[in-house]
Amino acid sequence: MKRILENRLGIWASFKLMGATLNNNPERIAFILHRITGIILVGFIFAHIVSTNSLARNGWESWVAVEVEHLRGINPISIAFFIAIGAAVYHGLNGIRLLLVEALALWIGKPERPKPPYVAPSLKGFQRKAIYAVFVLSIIIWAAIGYVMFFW
Amino acid sequence: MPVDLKAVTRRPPEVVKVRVKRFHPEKGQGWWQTYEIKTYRGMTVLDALLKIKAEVDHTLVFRYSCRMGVCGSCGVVVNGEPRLSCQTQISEKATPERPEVVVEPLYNFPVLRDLTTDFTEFFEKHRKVRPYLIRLDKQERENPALEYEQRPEELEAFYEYTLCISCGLCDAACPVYASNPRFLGPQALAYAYRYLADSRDEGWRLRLEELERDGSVYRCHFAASCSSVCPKVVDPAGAIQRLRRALLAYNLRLFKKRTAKNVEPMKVSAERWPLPPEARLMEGVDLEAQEKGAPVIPKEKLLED
Amino acid sequence: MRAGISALVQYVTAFLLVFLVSWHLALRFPPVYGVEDFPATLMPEVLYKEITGSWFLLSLLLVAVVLHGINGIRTMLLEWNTSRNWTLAVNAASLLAAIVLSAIGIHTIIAVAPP
Repeated sequence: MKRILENRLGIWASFKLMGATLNNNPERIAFILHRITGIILVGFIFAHIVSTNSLARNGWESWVAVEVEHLRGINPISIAFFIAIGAAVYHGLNGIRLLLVEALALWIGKPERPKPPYVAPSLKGFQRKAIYAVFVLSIIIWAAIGYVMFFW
Repeated sequence: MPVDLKAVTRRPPEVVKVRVKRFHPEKGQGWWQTYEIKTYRGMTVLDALLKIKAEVDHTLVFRYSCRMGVCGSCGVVVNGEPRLSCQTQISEKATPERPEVVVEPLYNFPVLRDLTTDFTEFFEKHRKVRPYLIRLDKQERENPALEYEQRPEELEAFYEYTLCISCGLCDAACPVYASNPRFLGPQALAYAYRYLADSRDEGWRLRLEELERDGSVYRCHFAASCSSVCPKVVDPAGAIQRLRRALLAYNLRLFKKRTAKNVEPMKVSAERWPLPPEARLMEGVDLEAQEKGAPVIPKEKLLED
Repeated sequence: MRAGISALVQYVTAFLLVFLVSWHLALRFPPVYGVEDFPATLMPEVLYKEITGSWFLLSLLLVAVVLHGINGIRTMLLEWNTSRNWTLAVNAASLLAAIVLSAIGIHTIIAVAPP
């Protein structure tokens, strides 16, 4: 018999889009995307490190036949590369913002007395504009990379 | 928490369904229960809960005290968003298309019964950051004879964080607090920064050492949900980033802080401030006499009934 | 490992990676080598010159990316469950993975033969 109900959301709070129901909080969406792209990147990069090792083991013929030819045109390998590069672009741009906000405490406004419309200074600071810039820029850069990869 | 003036002033739907997540400790089970109530303009979620308790189901348990967003005891999760129930209008959450308000107990807090949550851990964490002024001169701290000198701009640096009412909404919204029970939480960390930034406090070395050992400051990833739900605009997210910068500076031996000196209390002089030369007293006003006691109004000037 | 050091490692490697990954991706841009499309920048002659010429930057990228990635995943896993055994297991697995992946990557850079 439970006398007390544990109500912790657990690790899934980091992935649940609670940010959509919290108003005025795109930082939460940026945080969730940062985690998801981070996990994608870890999976991709470790596979990348292991697969490029075939260069040292099997020589150049198999490298050209297996690795390079799979990147030409649209196929599962090149799409995996495309997704990973998109994740890297977002993770990097948002990471620059986070470096400035977290490590140096820039762009989060100054402490001030509450006044209407009662929005916290760190949500009004330049980092809020930077989030939208990150979203827009990463889509533009991702599209440009897609053009170079598939239609050059 | 920004206020949408249109949403809070419009008329809510005539009849609203209130879905409450309930828990009974003796039966040891939780369930969802739906109530239908009639609303009126200006009805808050707390009003709705009180109406249910009075008219429909007296077994519903929740905590509240002041009903005006000052005490911070009525925090619940309304439609997935941590809010003070006394400050949430039904009209904000229930629309004519979907006349439903979902009320849950605060996330990340152990539930005692229905909507009542246990704040023991919360206040233990609050106590951990030493929420009081530390002075090196113990004698002066216990038996103060002097005053602390503080400039207005030094007050502005931390005034915002003193407004915290310990309602726990920030901890309920925090994704890191949700998964890591050792994380101190936005409320405690904001309080740590409030005393670190206070120019009267001299315990910064102790505070920073303890925070560095605890490591909670580095667990924050700036999801900023705490700041967006705070009903008093305390901005815990900003406080934690400033705390982290202070910690990094402290580890590089760069941290500096100006602490307030003890000064003599201001002398209250009995002398009157001289009037400017162009000032002229009204007829029949005796300043000297007025300073001694309440002014005596001549009888002929009093209005008769 | 103390949370402060782990965070510092994360910030420093993040700062390095901003430049290193941009460089790594920019080298795959066709006009850099004057070739007709993107897979052509991966041809043996081009790639061998690149690996032997900038082996230091490549190994720096490798170590930074392994540290940053494993430290990030480790932080998430330690948040997921905070028991003592889990913490020890995650730390040991992270250290092992970091060493193995760095070794594989360094082997690629060292053992590559001329085309």
